[in-house]
Amino acid sequence: MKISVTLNGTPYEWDTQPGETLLSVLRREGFFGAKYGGCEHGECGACAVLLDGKTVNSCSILAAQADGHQIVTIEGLGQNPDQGWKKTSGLHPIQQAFIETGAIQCGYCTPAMVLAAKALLDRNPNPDETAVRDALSGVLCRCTGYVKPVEAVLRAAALLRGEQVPPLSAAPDISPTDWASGKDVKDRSEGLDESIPSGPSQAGTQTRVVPHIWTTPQTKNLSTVGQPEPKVDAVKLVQGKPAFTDDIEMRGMLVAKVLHSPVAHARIKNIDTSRAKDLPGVAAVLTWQDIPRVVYSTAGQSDPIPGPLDTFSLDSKVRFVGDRVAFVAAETEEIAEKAIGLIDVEYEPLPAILNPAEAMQAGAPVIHDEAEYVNFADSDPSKNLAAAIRINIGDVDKGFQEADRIFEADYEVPKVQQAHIEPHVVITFWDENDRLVIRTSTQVPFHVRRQLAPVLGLPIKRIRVIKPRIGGGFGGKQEVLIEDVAAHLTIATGRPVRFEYTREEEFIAARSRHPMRIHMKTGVKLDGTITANEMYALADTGAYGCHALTVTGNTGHKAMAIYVGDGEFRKSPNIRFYADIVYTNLPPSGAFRGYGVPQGFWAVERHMETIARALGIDSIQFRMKNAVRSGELHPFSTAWSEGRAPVPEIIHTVGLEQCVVQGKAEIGWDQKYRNPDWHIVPGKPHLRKGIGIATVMQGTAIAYLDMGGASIKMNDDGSFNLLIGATDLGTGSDTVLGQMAAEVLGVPLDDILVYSSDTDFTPFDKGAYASSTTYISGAAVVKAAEQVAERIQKRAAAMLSVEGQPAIDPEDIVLEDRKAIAPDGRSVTLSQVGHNALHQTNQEQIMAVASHVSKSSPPPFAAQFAEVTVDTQTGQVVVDKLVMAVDSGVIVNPVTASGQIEGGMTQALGYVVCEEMRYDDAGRALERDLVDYHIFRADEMPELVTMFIETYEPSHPFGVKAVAEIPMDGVAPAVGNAILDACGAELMQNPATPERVWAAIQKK
Amino acid sequence: MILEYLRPKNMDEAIAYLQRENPKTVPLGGGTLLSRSQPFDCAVVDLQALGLDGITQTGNKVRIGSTTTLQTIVDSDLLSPGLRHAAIRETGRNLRESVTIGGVVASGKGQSTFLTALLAADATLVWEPGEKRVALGDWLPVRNEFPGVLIRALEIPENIQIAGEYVGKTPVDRPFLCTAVAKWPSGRMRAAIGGGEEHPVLIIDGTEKDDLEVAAKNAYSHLGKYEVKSEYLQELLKTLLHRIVQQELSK
Repeated sequence: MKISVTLNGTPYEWDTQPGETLLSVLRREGFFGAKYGGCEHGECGACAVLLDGKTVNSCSILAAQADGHQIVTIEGLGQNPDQGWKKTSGLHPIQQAFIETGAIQCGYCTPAMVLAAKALLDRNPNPDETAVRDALSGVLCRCTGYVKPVEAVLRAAALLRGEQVPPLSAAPDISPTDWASGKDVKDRSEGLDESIPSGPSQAGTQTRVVPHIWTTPQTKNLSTVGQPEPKVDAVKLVQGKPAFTDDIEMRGMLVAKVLHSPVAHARIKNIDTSRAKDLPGVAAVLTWQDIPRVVYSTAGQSDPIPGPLDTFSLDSKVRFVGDRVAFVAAETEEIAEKAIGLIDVEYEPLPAILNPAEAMQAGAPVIHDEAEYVNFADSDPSKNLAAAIRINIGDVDKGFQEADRIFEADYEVPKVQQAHIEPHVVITFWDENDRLVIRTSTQVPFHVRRQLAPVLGLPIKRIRVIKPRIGGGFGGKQEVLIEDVAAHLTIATGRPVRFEYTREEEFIAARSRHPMRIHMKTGVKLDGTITANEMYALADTGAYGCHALTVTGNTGHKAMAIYVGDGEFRKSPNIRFYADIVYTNLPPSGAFRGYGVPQGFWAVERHMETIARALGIDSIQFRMKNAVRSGELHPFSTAWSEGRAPVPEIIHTVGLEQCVVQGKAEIGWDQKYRNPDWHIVPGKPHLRKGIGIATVMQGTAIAYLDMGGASIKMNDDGSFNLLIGATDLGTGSDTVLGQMAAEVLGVPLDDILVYSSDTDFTPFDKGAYASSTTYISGAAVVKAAEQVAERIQKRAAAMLSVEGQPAIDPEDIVLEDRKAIAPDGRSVTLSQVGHNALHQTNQEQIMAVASHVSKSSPPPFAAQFAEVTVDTQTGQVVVDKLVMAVDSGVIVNPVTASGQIEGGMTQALGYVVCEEMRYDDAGRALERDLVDYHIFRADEMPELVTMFIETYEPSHPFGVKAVAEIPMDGVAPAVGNAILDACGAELMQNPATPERVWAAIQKK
Repeated sequence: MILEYLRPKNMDEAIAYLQRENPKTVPLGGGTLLSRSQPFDCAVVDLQALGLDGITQTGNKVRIGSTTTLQTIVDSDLLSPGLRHAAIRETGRNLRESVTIGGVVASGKGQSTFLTALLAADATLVWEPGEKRVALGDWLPVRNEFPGVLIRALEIPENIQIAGEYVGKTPVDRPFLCTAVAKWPSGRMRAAIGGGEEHPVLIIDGTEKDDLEVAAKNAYSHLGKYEVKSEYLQELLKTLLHRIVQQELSK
């Protein structure tokens, strides 16, 4: 049927099918700004467009319904103002505000948010924050925590009303002082606040986009590092440009679908694909009988993979509901789905293990009985043991003997989903050289290439992996999860193949955070000194052992490292960490931001709170008395590392104490804690308020193992191409790496053209995980930039030298303001240098490649505070405020870094309040969409406050440590402790569902 | 699979389409359900050209057209704040702009806050052809037995107060227990609860607060399969209904 619409002011007539959605037609017609979130009920809102001025989800209406109506997509708003000889009116003020406020992270939901904001401001030019949050409530964002998008809309509203708003990019006056030495502390955000006009007409622009930062002296002369630079990719993302994996069309492209197992554990006795193959439009059907049987691991990690090899692309056995049975490629999605339904499979059911506690019992069914299984370390498939960890530091038994009291308790944490809004998606095709191109939304392009080569029967050199823009990953895309499906089908058919998970597949057949049952045993003196600390974790890796060892290793390596004891015990801590990581017939666990550490801190920080209260000691004093301090050995560094031999490591910078001081002040701890009046809500006796804290640490990269590379090439206008293998999955890493290069080369960030990542063109990088990009890849960028700078200095010195006068020492040339400046003040522009190098004198391409492996993994630290209100009659918990004070070393970009903290806190908020993946007694997932599995919306968020307490980490050229993962660690225990403070309920298991809290209240 | 899309210009035309047996032909409101892949082949009749949207007051009744969106409910001054809040609580903004009340009535589950509030309000459905009227409470248990082929409108009393209490994991998470109470100037009071069952259920239509407390004690038997323990659920029901009456409707 034909429909006529007016789209972005232009009339269109399209042929559509009666059942085709508007989203499908828009994307087919090249309007890629409307994104697909895989959802079945329109719950994510990434596909939003304006229909007659109202925000609607284009996946949730038929294209035919739009016939005769006006549609606005993101392509109809502003555009880049400067397009060569053609000038445009530029970006829409809403788009501009999204860029300026740092409201864009992965950018996948950004077009939808911008359109929702436009609909709001068209009908209400002067909205309050509640109205803005309501307008954004239909668009789920997993990255930002909504802080900056809300600020962006308020700012845009003011701009559109014609009001003056202060430039957010203007850097405040920084007068660095050393807080650690007790001197004055300078808050970078103070300057901004003073510049913001006040008064009723300015409502909505009083923004805190730039967080509080207490700076270090070492940053005083930096011009780009430390500044809230707009993200280098923001302009394209805010316009909805086709930047993501699926924003591409290829002639003859097939659609792939996977038949998933309906049973938890079975052998495939027979599989008949004849009816599916006979269906017109089906290009290929593959089962385990059709492809080589190559054992591998889907965990995207450096070689050798620190875990068992226990996975096949397709197998004759299924191990969980959702496991793969067959692949189909067809001309259309409908045909592919129909073909899936025509595959006849006869299963021989096997007993299933759905409870990890039963996995190692005698007589338990063996999940991995395949001959090809490759052990790693202590894995033992005959016992369903994917990995085991036994770490003893000091003399733990003696420590317990020396304790006055011993506290033991059991804790439990659930399986949760990364829920990135862009699903897993891949497109594969043969290029003109018969090399297989894999265009995929991955955090680990180089690992994809290496790990899939044997699986596909191709040498590494015949595979090219392109990582376009990623719509969020959070560890879920550190998995080589679906690339092989499309690749096998391209090999089988010779045609391009596209495969994208639905939201349901994300729940039943992707990876998740490891659920754990944790036992804590802690010995203490009556003065609060910890004499010994012991944790046992039983982790459920599900049907496959991807990340089994390393995730759970980090549970102890980070969470059990923060408290070493005091006095003699501080000098020789007594710590034990044992773990068994077992197979079950549930969907596999894997990497999820925080990587095992949030699980550990739920137990450790809830346990410490209980101990402090039982001893009658202030819980913050108790923590600080026992916490690790700068100059001390990381206690685990002598005992364990991720797949490599441990190397003792000193922790040089610990800003934890100051984080506690500043965080306490921000949340008003001293006015609230132990203040009975504060804990009540007048007129509502069933409500009780509570306040809680957790102190946490993470790691920064993996020492001696992970490597990042960078190359920088100078152009003849003085700009630079920065090519990096690092993968920006919305974190802003392209931007901060560009800032480091710009700082060294003396140019604005605009002059650094950042490209990531393509295994053919960019240097190797381990990928985006382990909080490593700013630290590892950043150091590589700095090294490459320094080499390029050296070449520029030499050439500039020659250009500035005057015959008959002493030659200028290149080392005396300063690169600044796009110039190479001699000590006498004379200068040449970098444009002149670039032109000279390429065209005039001793021609050469000024470029450099560098790489970096760290010898240390400096931990960031944080104090996390939470305020809650508990309904003691229903058990419902409302989190009112989260404050996080973070020591992440020097902050390269306060806006992107605070965005990381806000988004991380929000994910962690879901972990403690509402997120949980559950299964029925046949192993079937109960949560299969973002309706049943609720993630936080804009209109229900607590107040979020981020503070950075800078230390200067000596192992990095700019003093940085990691930011990305630490916000996942403290929210859950801080909220748990706040619930305890509010109503005395001891919550041992998260999330804090109303029923669990109510039950805990009854137990008091 | 949707085989045919139809957009009739008047009610007679729509009724004629909807009375076809082959292919199965169903009404299309906002499209949020039918735009999904269907397990059966069907034709859809888009109601957008029939003028069934809008809210009007006639005498002591408020009439809500069946293609009125949830967001229109939220924005209407003619409706009780409790009903508007129930509409806000139903879903996020984007879907509220598309989801129609006809769609909610036809397919809303037990966790629908808006359907629970409508049931408490003793809403009446107006069916075509023939403007047949049936009480929502009578129709919900036999939802597949249509008294007509198309819902034209809902009518609710104008002079009632409606209040609801919901418990979910977060402030806007889909609640696992919804309660709503409507109160008439005469003292009549109706309470409905929703949660794990197929649709919300009425637990009392009486006049006294005491009746409500008795109903709260007995309400548990009305509820279907629940994920939470019965002891907790019973306590919760008692608490929520008590709160509505004591705190909301006594204001």
